[in-house]
Order: sequence, then structure tokens, then C-alpha cells
Amino acid sequence: MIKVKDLVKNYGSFEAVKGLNMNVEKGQVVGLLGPNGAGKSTTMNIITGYISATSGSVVIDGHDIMTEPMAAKKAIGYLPEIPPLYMDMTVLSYLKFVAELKGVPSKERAEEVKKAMKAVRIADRATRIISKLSKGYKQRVGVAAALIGNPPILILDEPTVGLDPSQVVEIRELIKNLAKEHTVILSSHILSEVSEVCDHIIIINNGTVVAEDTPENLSNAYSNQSHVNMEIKGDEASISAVLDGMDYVSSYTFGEVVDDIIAVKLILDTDEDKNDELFFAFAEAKLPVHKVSRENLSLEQVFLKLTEDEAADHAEKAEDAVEENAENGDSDDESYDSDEEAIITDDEEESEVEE
Amino acid sequence: MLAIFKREMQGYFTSMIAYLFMAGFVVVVGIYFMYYCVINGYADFAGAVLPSTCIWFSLLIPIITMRLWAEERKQKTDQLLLTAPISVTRIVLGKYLAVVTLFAITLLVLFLFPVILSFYADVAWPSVFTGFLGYLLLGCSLISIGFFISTLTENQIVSAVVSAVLVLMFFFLNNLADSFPGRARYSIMMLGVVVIGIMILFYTSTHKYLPSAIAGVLGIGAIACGYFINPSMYEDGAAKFVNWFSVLDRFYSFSDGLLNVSSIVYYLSFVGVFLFLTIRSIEKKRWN
Repeated sequence: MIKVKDLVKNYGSFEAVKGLNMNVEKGQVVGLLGPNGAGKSTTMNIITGYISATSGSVVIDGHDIMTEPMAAKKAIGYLPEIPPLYMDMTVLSYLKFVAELKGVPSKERAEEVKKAMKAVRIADRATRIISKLSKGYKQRVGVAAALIGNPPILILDEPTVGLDPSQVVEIRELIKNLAKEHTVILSSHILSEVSEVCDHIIIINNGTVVAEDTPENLSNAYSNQSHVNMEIKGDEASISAVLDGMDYVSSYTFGEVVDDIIAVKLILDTDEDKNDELFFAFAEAKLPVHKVSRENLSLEQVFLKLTEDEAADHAEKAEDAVEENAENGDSDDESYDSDEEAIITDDEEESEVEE
Repeated sequence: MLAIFKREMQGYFTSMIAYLFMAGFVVVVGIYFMYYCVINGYADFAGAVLPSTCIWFSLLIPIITMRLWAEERKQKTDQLLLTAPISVTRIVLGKYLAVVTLFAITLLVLFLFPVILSFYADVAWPSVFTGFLGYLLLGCSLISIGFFISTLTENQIVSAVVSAVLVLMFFFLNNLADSFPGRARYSIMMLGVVVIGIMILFYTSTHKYLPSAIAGVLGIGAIACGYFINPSMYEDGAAKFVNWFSVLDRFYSFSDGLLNVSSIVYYLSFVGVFLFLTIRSIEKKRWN
């Protein structure tokens, strides 16, 4: 459906996209993931024909965006990062304008607009002036505009940025619904969103694709460590004695103690399942194991690992995340804090890059 | 194209801009009408009132042209237009026709002045018609300049000020041209500077020496060829060149009641050149 080959985009001497390749099949929901400034928006802007590439090609549904722009653009519904809304228009007149702009025949326009408004549930706001709408509604009007003309491909650039949590959930549901009938590409720097909505993830960093697979495969393929959460009845000293004797345990931390049962978090140097071995080792030492659970490296960590670069703050974030994971399980406030910090620094970075 | 046109008209009339623009014109023309026709009793509306009001174009035209593209870029709505299955040429034509229509509507309102005048005096209708036609064509040319300037910036104020200054400059060009030295060598020198400018432009946009060198050789060759074929064409060359841009001069023949085909062609080609530059300017943004 979409074939991007050796895409390069230079802004002066700055290389925003460096030889990016990707293929999107019909019916897929693809998430473009990457830290801000990685080249996601630039790539989408090139795919949709808003800006042109320095070199490389983009073929949409068999039509090259450079040589057959009209046919290629007709196949795409695009929601840019900032929805392109005319603030002085009402929702209805704006959508009618978009329909006319996209060449929807005049007889079908009213029906088309009605369908789009129904899909994003804004029919009750049809006569409101767009500037008076809330951010979530504006975003929905943007999605409705992308839907008009019933294009087979939808490209959504950070569709949930800046929305409140309930709006985020709504937009995600909406995307899931749309995915039933459209090929969707969406970009995000929030992992949970992509892993929830998409069936295929492309991780972009510094203008190139660093990884590409389904969410499950990605998280399996890139973990060479595993984390085990255990609850053991006993005292710290005797548990330490057992763990110190195992060569694949790289580190462990003790957590809460409830009725003599201690929560222990282990980081293993292997991604093999060692649950049984751990169980029998503790059984031998007469320490009853109440719980063993193993988790792979989360997608979040895979993402951070892949996008880790020379920048010191990236390395820091990865560490934060690993630490956070070490404390996973008990809802420690601190771990959430560090996570949020990581996202905030990311945002600041973006505004610098984009300006 | 029709969609863009309708949306643009709607934009003008839902905001203050259209009314502000029309009111501005009515007030300006009204003041001169009062002075010439009512107080001093001239019946020659086209010859006296219209030419005097031309200077106000510099203030009024930017009001309707400043936002044309600057606003789209600022609000990012250009993303909608440029990713829609419609060519840049159509977008530009749709917008341009909307502004011209707004201007034409304004002229219809202004037409009430000679109608009122006709109740009290004999109005020379042919000169009124040609005068209004000239007024329309002059306005169209200046609107195309304003549109072009609007594509160069995201800032409406900058767009308005630059357009106003440029329109004034175009008005005073003929005075400027009179002071140019007329000898051929000055024209050749000026052309040389233009060629060097083009070479620099080529180099900065491609970062390759070859295209700029070729442009330079071709340019100098063309100047030399022109000199051998017809050396006299360089006499007063600079003044001729500059005079091509003095849009106001051509208007006076219209207000005198002359329907000059060459002037009509001149204005239309002027509009064509600036609309072409506008299209190129929008396309260029996408390549940067």
C-alpha cells in the first residue's frame, strides 16, 4: 500500500531523515515510534506530499507522490500534528469545504460529511464555531476531515498529544474502529499507545528505522535480561545466602515485608526461564516461595534501548527505566515520577529541534 | 478551485476585513468626491477623483492581501490545502479570484458616486467606464504583488508593511527612472549586476559551481549578442526596464477615457508574472 524507499530529507545542513525505508501493507495499523525530533513528522509530511523529499521515493497505492501527486493524495487522509482547522468556520461548513476540496461530488457531499461526523461523534457540535471547541473536539474535527472522501489510507500524526486522559482513550477507541476499514499509520512518542493500537511498530531514531516488527516480537527479541518478582517467607540474610550462590542472578533488591513474606526483585543475566530452578533452590534452603513471576523486558525499555544514542540524557532515561522496572510491582510513586520526567525532557527536546 | 474561492469569500465576510476594506475605499473616494465634485463642482469623476485616490491603494490593498498565505502558514492550514488532491496553481487562482471579486464588489459600491453625480451634472460615462476598468486592472496588479509578498512570511504585519512599501515604490518608479543615466554602458552594467545576482542565486540554491557558471556565461553571452545585433536597445535601458514596473502610468490613459489594448495586456501580463512568482514561492517552501 505504501512503499517508502531510501527517503532522505535535508533542511540545509541538517539531515532530518537519512535513508528511511518502510513498507506498509493493506489493512495494517502501523505505529511510527520515536523520540521527538526523530523524523516522524517529516516522514509523514513527505508521504502526504506536503513537503518534498531531498531524494528517495514514496509510492502510495501504486502512485508515486512526486509524479502522480493527485492520485496519491486522493488515497490519503491526513491529520497533521496540529489539525489544519479554519477557526472562523463552523464544524459543518469546514467539513463541507474539505469535502469540496477533496473533490467529493456535490451530491454525495452532505452524506459524506454526515458519515464523518458520525464516525467521530461530533454531530451535536455541527453548528459550533471551531475556535470555540475544546482541544479534544478540535482533534476529532481534524480526524473527521481526514476521513472525508473515504481514503483507504489514514495518516495520523500524534493524534492524542495534548488531550486529557479520557479524551486519549476516546481517540484510541476511534482509531481502533477506523483500523477495521482503513490502513492506518500513526505516530507517537508514547509507547503504551502504539502497543495498544497498532499491530506493527516501526521505531525511528535519528531519521532511520532502527527496528520494525510486531509489538510482541520486538519485546521478545530485544531482551537479554529478565526480571523476576518473588515473594518468599524468611529473613533477608538467608535469602541473600541462597541468591548469592547463583551465578545468573546479577542483582536483587528487597521490598515490602508482610507477615514475614518478603518481596524480592531479581534481575537475571539471561532471558531463559529460571523459575523452576529458583523455586527448588529456595525449597532446599527451607524458604517457602509464595510467588514467582517472570517478565520480559517491556516494550518501553526496548524503545529506550533502541533510541539510546550519544546524548547523555537518553542514557539516563534508559537507566531510569531499568530502575523503575526493578521496582516494578509495588506501585512506588518515585518510579512514576522518573518516568514522567523522562517524557517531559523529551518534549523540551522536541521544541528545540523543531524550532 | 471553487471550494477555495468560496471559503476565501466566506473568510472575508465573516471577519471584519471585507467591511473594513470597503469602508476604507468609500471613505477615501468620498473625501475626494466631496472636494472635487461637491465643493469645487467638477463633473469629471474619472479624471479628477479616481487618479487622486490611487495613492491610497498602498494602504488599502495590503488589508486584503496580507493574510492570503501568511495566515494559512501560521495556522498550518496550508497542510490541508497542499495535501489535498488539488494543484498549487488552482489554490492560488482560487484565492486570487476571491480577492479580485471582493475588490470588484467594492468598485460596484464606488460606482454609486458617479451615479449620484449624474443627478446634478453631465457625467462623461465613457470615461467613467474606462476609468473604473483601469481602476480594476490597477487593483488586480497590486493585489498580485500583495499575494506574492504574503507567501514570503508567516507574519501578517510584515506582509502588510512590505506590500505597502512595495506598492508605493512601484508608484514612484517613474520619478526614479527619470533620474537614471541614459547611456548604454549604464544599462549594460546594470544587466551585468543582474547576471551576477542570478549566479549567486544559483550557487546558494544548488551549492554547485557548474550551474551558476553556465548561467553566468549565458547571461553575458545574451548581453553581448544584444549589443552586436542592436546597440541602440541599451539606450535608456535602465529607465525602460524600471518603467515597465510603473503600474500607475498606464492607469492615467484609462482615466482620460482611452481604452488602450496594450495597457490591458500589460496589466494582465503583470498579474500573470506575479501569480507565477506566487506559485513558485509556495512550491519552493516545500523543497526547503
